[in-house]
Amino acid sequence: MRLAAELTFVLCAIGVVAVLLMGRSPRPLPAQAPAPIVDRAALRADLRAIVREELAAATPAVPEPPREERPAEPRMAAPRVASAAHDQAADLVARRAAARRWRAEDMLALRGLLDRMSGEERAEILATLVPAINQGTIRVEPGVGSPF
Amino acid sequence: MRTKQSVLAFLVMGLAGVGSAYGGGKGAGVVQLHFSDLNGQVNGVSGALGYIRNTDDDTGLLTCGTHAFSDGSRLMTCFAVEPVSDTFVMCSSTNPGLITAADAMNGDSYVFFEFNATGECTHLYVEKSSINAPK
Repeated sequence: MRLAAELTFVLCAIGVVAVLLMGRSPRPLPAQAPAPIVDRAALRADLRAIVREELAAATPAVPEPPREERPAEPRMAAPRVASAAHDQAADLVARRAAARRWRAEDMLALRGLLDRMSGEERAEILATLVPAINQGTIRVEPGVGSPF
Repeated sequence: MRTKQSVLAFLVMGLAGVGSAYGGGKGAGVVQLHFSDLNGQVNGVSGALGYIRNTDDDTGLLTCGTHAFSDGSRLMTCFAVEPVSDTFVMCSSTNPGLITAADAMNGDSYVFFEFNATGECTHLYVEKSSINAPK
């Protein structure tokens, strides 16, 4: 009898607790924080910095080769431009070959032009004049001495 | 024709040596042409500068010179006139050895030079000897 009364009491207590729990209002959600003010310029700068850092981290570092080891860039051969002295000397030799005579004034003129030519140009002029003298095409006048 | 002149020049040089005891001597140094064994063309000249200068015949000539240019390069030339055949020969070169040899000449040197068909000097011999007549 007594046990029955105790059980009834326990059951009632459980019921009361259950009713209390069920009837309790739901816990209110925490109040949302006010939206922060966004500094767009600063955000962009940060994004740029991050992107740069990420790219730098992703790209393997390749040391720049020393300047002397860099492959030479293809260079177009500059067209050869004859010096004015070369042209004058070529004209002189051509005129004197036509006249078949080499005079003292021609010797002096050519000597004056030789220093204003490149070595290649000098060789070209002499390759015309010297064989012409050896073949008798151009005769050096007496008293001239060396033709240049 | 050239061969005859060369022989004549040889005889002249030989006669100049007749009567002189060996051990010294005084050589003639006329301008003498040299011919290629390959094609018979003139490919060299020799002569003694003092002798050529002292002869009564002033039509012979042998001269060598050197140029020094402002770009640092150099050029040597040799030129000769053989009076008997009235032949002109000339060569030039930028070869440093030939330039040095040309620099070594003096007014009494005996000179022999050779050249190729393009007029380039290929050989220069410079002799300073008691056998060569001074000016």
